[in-house]
Amino acid sequence: MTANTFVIETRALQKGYGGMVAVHDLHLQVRAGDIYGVLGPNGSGKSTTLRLLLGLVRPDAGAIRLFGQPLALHHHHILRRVGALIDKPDFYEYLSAYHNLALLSRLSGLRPERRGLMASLEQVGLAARAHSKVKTFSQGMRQRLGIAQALLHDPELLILDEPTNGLDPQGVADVRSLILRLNQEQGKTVLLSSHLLQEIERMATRVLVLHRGQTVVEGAVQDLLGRDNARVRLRVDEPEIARRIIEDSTQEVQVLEAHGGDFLLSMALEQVPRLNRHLVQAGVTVRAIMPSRSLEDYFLRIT
Amino acid sequence: MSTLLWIELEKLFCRGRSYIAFIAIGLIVGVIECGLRLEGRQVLDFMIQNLQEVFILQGNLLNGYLVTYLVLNSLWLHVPILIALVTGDLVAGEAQAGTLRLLLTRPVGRLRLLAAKYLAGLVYTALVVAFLALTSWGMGCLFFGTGDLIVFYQTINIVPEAELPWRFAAAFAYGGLAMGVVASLAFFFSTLANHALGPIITTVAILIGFTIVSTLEVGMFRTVQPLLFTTYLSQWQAFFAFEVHKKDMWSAVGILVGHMAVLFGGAAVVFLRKDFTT
Repeated sequence: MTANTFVIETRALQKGYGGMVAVHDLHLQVRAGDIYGVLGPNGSGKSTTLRLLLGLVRPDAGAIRLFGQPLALHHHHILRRVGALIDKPDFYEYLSAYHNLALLSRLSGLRPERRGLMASLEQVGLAARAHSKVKTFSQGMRQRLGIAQALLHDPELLILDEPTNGLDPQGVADVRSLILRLNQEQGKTVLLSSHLLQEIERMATRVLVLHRGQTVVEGAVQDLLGRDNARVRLRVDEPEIARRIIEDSTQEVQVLEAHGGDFLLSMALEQVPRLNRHLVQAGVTVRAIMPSRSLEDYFLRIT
Repeated sequence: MSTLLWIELEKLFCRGRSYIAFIAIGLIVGVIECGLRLEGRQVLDFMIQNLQEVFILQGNLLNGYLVTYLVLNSLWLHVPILIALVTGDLVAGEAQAGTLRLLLTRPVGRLRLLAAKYLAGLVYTALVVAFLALTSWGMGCLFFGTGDLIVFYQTINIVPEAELPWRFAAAFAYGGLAMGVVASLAFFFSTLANHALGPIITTVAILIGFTIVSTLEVGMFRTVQPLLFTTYLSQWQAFFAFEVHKKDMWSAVGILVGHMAVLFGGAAVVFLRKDFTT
């Protein structure tokens, strides 16, 4: 599959529950090799979108194609190439982690081998608890097992709903590194949703922002971040002089907030060094100057 | 398909709940057989006291076959509840636990998955009935010996010992089929719900309601009685009539199989169209 091929493509996708629209007119295009992030507040339609792509819910209108094939017609064949973790990771509580994976492996048409299953558990740091029943697992361990089951049959496409949910900071870092490794080293395409915007920002190459079932914006993360001014936090010892320099500046710098020596500014990121130089030359002691043009800022502005 | 069926059976028998029926049947049959061992003679004398005034009855009348017949009469209303407990959980239980979502993201196909679950439910039902046969018939003959069977079905029937093995085998096979309808009903409701308790309670409620309608000799009920599966649940007793009306039995079998087909068809329609949001 070439990089220009769409692994996932939806056209005018629509889904409602009762009278409520969950997804409206969704046009989604995910290329091979992308890490594609789906962002949105609760109830924005993220989970419904992912469920539609896996055939767990049926669309009211529109078309879904995965690997160039219509999902409705080739559901069985397509799912052989997809690994998924949807919603919270639920397993057979009365079975061990190993037994759960063995069972799911057989469901995927594979012959489970001890070495392969243990390698899957090793990959997510659960090898030591392989034979413990899932009912004894913490949320974080279940999440890891969820990722292990999604990878069992070496899928080309991973669809992950909140993959770092419930993990401790080390677990989040491990999963993030695993996803990046799978994408960069094995060329897997990843579609993930998260409410942790920093996660999307750190991992995704493209992002879709949903709000009330509708697309607010879609594009490459870097393009979205480059569209507007950054927010810059400035801390100085001489606020009056600093304010005068900022206001006299020919640069487009806007003071959003000011509390004593703390300022929140809106400005082009490339202008930050110049402002810093002006302040220092005017004898202002600059304690901190922190550009924060994060996806979170962008997300909060547009939703 | 066989892989899917094995997986479903494996899951079924890894759960403690699946053994409740076997434990309950074992205990109840054990208690009944102990009771009959201690006071069976008095019970039998009471049952046949009118006959003894007219006939001279000889031989081992309190035998394993009579014990089995009594156990079946005592348990035939409880076994459906035990079966519904497991088969009503097959789909709804997994929906509630979230594992159905896990299965449906695998390349298995909804209809195949549903069929595997249904077959697993029927295998379980057959095993429960087989266990009932083993404990009541097997243990009964072991502890009480064998002999002719005296039963009251429409009239007094004395069935010779030589005919009893096939009659009991047929009765248990028919009973297994009847329980298959109960399993199908619970399974159908299981596809409608996302919580396991609902299908189990609904099945038991329908079983009780339909049984009342099936047994009450009220004019307005008579027209619907032939349509209700509960009318045919106790038909196994007809295998102990003086003459077994094979045509009637095959007709009853056909009606039960028809019920199972309709219920599975309904379950398939529901399951194939369902949105899995849990």
